[in-house]
Amino acid sequence: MLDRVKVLSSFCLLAASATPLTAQTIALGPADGRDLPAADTGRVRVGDAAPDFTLESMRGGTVTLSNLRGKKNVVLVFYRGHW
Amino acid sequence: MDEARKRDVELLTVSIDDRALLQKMVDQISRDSVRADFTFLSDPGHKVIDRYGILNPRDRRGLPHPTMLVIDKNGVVRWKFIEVDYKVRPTNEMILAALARLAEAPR
Repeated sequence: MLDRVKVLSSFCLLAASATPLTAQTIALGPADGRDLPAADTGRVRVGDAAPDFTLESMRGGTVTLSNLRGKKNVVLVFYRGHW
Repeated sequence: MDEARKRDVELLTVSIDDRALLQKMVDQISRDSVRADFTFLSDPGHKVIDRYGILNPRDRRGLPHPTMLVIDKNGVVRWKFIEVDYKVRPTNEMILAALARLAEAPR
């Protein structure tokens, strides 16, 4: 019984410590990625808001992801570049 | 994919290539008489790649792990695939299925 309480309380502790971490992950940090590790493949998860960006387009001008809100679904592909 | 659904989807591709390199690739694709229906975007300083956390730390050029995301009209990620092992790749069918699920269950 005591063991079970121990397990339960350690689980609660774990859950409590996990909560602020989750909130932090949802906030997703600064827009330009500063102060965030560049290699963290688990950061952007299904259900998260996709981090916004503005990038130069090959056709000239720029594309801002959030400008497509309410208009289009987006397939966003990152690839290794020229082949 | 039917035309109506195609109009509903924007295909954005991101690499660290500058515009000249991107143009070279588009020329190459059109020589193969395939029309490139994507918007090619340039992230030369890999800022957006870093932002998404998908920089390949083993590559000094700043290349990303090849990654695909399906983002709905609310800007929410609904499907994601990161290729850390080049032998495991998403198929076109997987991406189309993710898009079809968006059409079925709009949020």
